[in-house]
Parts: sequence; C-alpha cells; structure tokens
Amino acid sequence: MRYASNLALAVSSALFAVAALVACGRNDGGDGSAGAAFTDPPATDAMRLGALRKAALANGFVRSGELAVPVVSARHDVGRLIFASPIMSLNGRISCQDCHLDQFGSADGLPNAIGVGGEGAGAARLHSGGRILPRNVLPFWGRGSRGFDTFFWDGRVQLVDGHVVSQFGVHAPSTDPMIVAAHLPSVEVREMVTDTPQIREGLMSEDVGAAASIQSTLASRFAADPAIGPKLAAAYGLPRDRVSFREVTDALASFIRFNFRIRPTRFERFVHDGGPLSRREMAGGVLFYGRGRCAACHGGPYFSDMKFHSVAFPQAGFGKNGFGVDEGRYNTTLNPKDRFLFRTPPLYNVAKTAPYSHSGSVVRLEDAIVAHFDPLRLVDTREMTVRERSDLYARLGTASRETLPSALTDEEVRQLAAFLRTLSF
Amino acid sequence: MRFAYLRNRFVTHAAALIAGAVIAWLALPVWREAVMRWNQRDYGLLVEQCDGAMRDHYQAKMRAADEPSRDTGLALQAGEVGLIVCQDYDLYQKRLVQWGLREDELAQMRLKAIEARAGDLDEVVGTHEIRF
Repeated sequence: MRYASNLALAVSSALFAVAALVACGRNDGGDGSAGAAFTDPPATDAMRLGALRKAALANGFVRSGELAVPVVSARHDVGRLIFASPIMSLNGRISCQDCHLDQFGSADGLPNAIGVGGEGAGAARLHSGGRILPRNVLPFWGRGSRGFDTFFWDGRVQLVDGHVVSQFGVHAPSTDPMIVAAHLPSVEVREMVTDTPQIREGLMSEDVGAAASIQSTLASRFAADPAIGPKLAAAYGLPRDRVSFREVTDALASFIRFNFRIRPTRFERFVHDGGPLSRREMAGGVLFYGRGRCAACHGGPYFSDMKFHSVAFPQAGFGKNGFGVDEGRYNTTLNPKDRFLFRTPPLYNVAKTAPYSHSGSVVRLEDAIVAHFDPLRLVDTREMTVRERSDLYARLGTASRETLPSALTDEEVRQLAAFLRTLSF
Repeated sequence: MRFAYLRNRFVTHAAALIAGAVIAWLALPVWREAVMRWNQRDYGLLVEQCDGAMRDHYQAKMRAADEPSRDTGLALQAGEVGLIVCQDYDLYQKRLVQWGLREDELAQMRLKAIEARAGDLDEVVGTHEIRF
C-alpha cells in the first residue's frame, strides 16, 4: 500500500512539474509568435503558407526562368574573357573580375570598393594601397535581365519611357541600359582609370569625346589581344580592325546577363512548386510581406521596386560628397528631393553579399534589417562629431518619410534573415 | 481491532484528501499568478503587435479606399498579412486559458501590457477615458 502511495505521489509530482514547465515556459517561436526557437522544423500551417504564396505572387514574384534574356553563346564566352581581362583598364592593371568575385557573391566583400592600384581580394585588397571608391560594390545578380533597367546605387543609368537616361545624354552608346552601364567603369577615374596629372589635364573633361577616346584605345587593345581579338571579331562577324568598344561592351553585357542570371531558389520552389520552408523561414516571409512592410520597396521580380528610397544607414568612409556624406540620387539629378536616396537593392543572394548599404557600413544581414526601423541602435552618437550627428539627422529626416516596418523583435529580425536566405542560389 | 484499523485508515485518507483539496484551492491563485508572471512578457508583446497590426490594416484600408491604386492595394494586402500576428495572440491567449487563467487575469495582463508604455497619468487617462 505504501509503495502504491509513493508511486502515485511520484507520478503526480512529475505530471505537475511537466504542466508547470509547459504553462510557464516561453513560447518556442511557433508560427511567427514571440520567443526563440531552438530548432527549425518544417512549416505546416496551411493558412500562413497560403497567405505567403499569395502575397509573393501579388507582389510580382515570378519564376527565375521568366527573367532570363537569351544571349548568343559565342558572345558570352568572349565576354567572360573580357570580364577577367585587365585590358579593360587604361593602365592595364585592373579587371572587372577584381571587384566582382564569386567568393563574395559577385561583389568584393569590402565596405568601399578599391579601384586602381588594388591588389588581391578581401582584406588583402583593402590594405594594398589601391584608390578607394566611396561606395559599396554592387553584386551583378539579375543585371540586364528582363525588367532590370536601373543601374548603380544612384540610378545614373536608367530606362525611362523606353529611353536610356544617363550621363551620356543624347549620345548614349546604346538603347540597352545594360550596355550603357557597361561603358561607365572603364572611364571612371580611380575605378579603372588612374588619377594622374596627365589624365586630369588630358582626359578629365566630363565630355563624351574624352570617354570615347579612352574606349577606342581599349577596343583596339582587345582587338589586338591574341586570346580575345579573334573570338570577339568572330562573335560579331567583323574583321578584327573593325571591332569597336560597342562590341566589347555587348559581349561583356552578354556574359553578365548569362553568368549572373537569376536561378531557381528555395523560395521559388516553395511558391511555384509547393516546396518546403521551415517554420522560421515561413514566419520571416509572413513578416516580409506583412508587418515588416518590406515588400513596399523590395517588391517585384527582383525584390526591388527599382525606385529610390532612404534608409538611415551609418555612413562608412569618405562618402561620394566627401567628409562622410553621400547624397545618393541627388548627385545624379541635382533635385533636392533626391538627397540621401538610393536605388532599392535587389535581394537575390543578399545573404552572400555582405557588407550592406551604399557604403558597406553594416556587416550583418540582421543589422541591415534593423537599420530600416531602428537605425540609432547601430551608431554611438556620443562617439560622433557634431558634423556627423548633423548628417545623421538629415538622413533620419528623409528615412522617416519612408514606409517604415513595424518595430520588430530580435527574433523577428532573425526570422526575416532566415527568409532572405531562401532567396540564395 | 481490525475494524478500528480500517476505520483509522479511512479517516486518515479522508483527512489527506480534504487537506489536498484545501491546499489545491489555496494554491490555485498562486498557480495563476505564476502563469501570469511567466507569460506577461510574451503575451504583452503580442497584445502590442496585434494592436499595431490592426491599426496599420485600418489605415491601409482607408487609404486604399481614398486613393485606389496598385500600391495602396498592395499596402492593404500587407496589412492583411500583418493581421496574422493577431492569430498568434489569439492562440497564445487560448493556451493561457487552457492553463487555468480566466478572463479577469487575461484582462489584467492586457492592462499591464498597455500601461507598460504609459509614462505618466495623462497616458493612462488617455487609454481609459470614455470619449463622447
């Protein structure tokens, strides 16, 4: 009898302890609620999964195959050689590939780009003594694909009503904005042109003729190159001495279109083929299209509206306008309303392209998300000068007029980051 | 003798049962208080998030009605997706009911969540005053 009583007491005590733990324990994160999840099991909530699919489609998400622009294989093959060739720079020392590396998701892994004079990759390049360019290298994913027609952080090359708007004015070398964009780095001082007194006196005239002069020289070099010249001429059915920079950039654009095309992702398989997502990824997706309001700007087939917006990211480096200031789109349009605006970055492969923001000031993807709704968390204003704080207030002013996300918890930020990782391929 | 033993055992067990019931009755408020304390943070957060989502949805709906466009339509849809957090709130609340909390305790927890942000009496009054 005593044994039975003791057993009953032990069992009831154990049950009570379990009940107390369940009732008093923190929520495990479940389907989007608060609390931290220790594991990430597959999502099974039909309502949320259905809502996420519907929201993605309504916001313009399409299969990656629908975005591809067909290219001629001979042209993208020779474009690959041009991409890796230092002939593209006037001093013959730097290629496109030097700053667009596979290991950094087609960017360079640095906050600010290192142009002419830079050697190596990653931290080695940072310390190599190259000229610093004041903006973060943009990755190439989706560039030149269907509907991707706004280029660079400030949209300095853009297709507007079927016409290319760029610094070439009415002398744009192509009606294809991708090809026009491919014309720019080769004539950008400190990017691929060494900043010397000779260059300043002879070529820094801000006219199309000076750019054409440099590019004609580069085209002649490519035509004369024994590895590239014959293939380039054959790809366009031209004699080698008739190859111009138009063919060089067309081949380069073909390579970028082909090599950096958008490919199927886990999110595509989820939306279009009923593939799985984990609970955390699903919760992040629901936030992305719901309370996070991310899709208000990061909508469309590339997760970018290709418009210009402001997020009060910390500024790293000297800045396009100097003294730690980068006025973004304003530098292109000179319209005061465009101060501190930057083109919404597309999000394919975003998890591979750290650091983030126009100046690469944020290293973690989670912090890049936080910058959208709680930018002051990322800076120590007491350590800043009055000037730096003043610039921050200006950026906060424009950022505050954007569609801001709800205040998200740290766990929700992690859920969003998990969702963004489903856009990798 | 044997009868006395059985009677004593019956009395002992009955006394233990009554004592157990009294302890359980006395312990119930303590249990509820413990459940409330342990869940106040998460439940309070969901109260706040659902409140914000409902407000966002309402404003998006008004805007979509005033200025119908693709953008305002998508913003309204984002507001609808955002309301999913209210489902989380509802589920959480039902779980608390399952673990013994009554509407009184839930109301107390909601009140604490609302007042957690109230910095002074004016805000408390603003939350509670009847508006004509």
